Amino acid sequence: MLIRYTLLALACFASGIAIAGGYFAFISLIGIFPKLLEKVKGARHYMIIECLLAYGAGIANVLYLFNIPLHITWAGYAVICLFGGIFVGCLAGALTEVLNVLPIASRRFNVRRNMPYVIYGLAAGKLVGSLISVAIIM
Amino acid sequence: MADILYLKLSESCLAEKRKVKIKDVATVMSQNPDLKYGVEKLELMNFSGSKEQQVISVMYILEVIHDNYADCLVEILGATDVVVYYRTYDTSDNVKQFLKFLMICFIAFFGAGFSIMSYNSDVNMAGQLDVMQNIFVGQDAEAFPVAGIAYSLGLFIGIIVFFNHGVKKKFSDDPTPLQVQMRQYEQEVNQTVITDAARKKESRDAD
Repeated sequence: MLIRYTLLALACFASGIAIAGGYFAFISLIGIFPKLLEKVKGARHYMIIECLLAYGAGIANVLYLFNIPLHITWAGYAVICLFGGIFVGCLAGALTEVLNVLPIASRRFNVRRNMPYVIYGLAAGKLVGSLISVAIIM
Repeated sequence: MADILYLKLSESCLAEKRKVKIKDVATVMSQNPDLKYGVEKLELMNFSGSKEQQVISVMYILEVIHDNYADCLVEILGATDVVVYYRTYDTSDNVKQFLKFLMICFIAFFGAGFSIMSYNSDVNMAGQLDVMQNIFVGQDAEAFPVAGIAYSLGLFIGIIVFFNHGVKKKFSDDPTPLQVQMRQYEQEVNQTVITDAARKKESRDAD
């Protein structure tokens, strides 16, 4: 029995490492944090950000898998969801950028001058879509 | 015989003073020390505002050198355009920058947590671990905690190995992925600024 448990633990450990590699390669390749850090001229603090990414993911993963309750009132819940939302929004924006959606669209539709409005439109569309999907879930 | 002057332009630089000299944007080498010293002290431009950037073409630098030292051969190595950024230091800015940085820290921490949770629920990680348990241990065993802890540990170690450092100490001398991305992004920004300035004719170029 012990051998089986050891095998299980080993397999899960290895899959954890593989998933972490793939997932964080994706996040760092998509380049959200270089851009955000450039905005505040904090490029020298990259180590702190990487550590926070590591600990955030590690802790949240444990909380999720073992359903650990962590009561932080509705305000804390809202704050966490806000930052989660910002991150996902950045991810979506960066994904469209990596896939060169906007440059191609702007050339096809000749909207180079009005690019900011297109981006506002994109963000507003995401907001409305997110609100509708949340409403459906509720 | 004319002296040969070697000039290597950097890709971008942050000016510390309003007056930008050739020394700030390029490395100069020559057999003739007087010439080298003189050229290094030549003034390229003056910033007037508090936050500016200017693209300087190597042609303009050549022009300035030739205005002052008519008979010298200049060999150019390195980039052909340089972006000079100038920012005045403002202490009230520091607080704002710190708050923004704190915000990014929050996004990194909670965002990474949020997205790993959404990944787990997207691929039904709990169900996946159940399947693993069925394969390795058997249906009835209560092995979920073992699998969960091993997976969580693996995930954490994987991230640390990927980013190549603990809190303070790096495991090897390689730059971390974020560092590489940051430098790449910086180069792309410089290239965009140079192309933009050339298109808008704002670049400081030879007439």
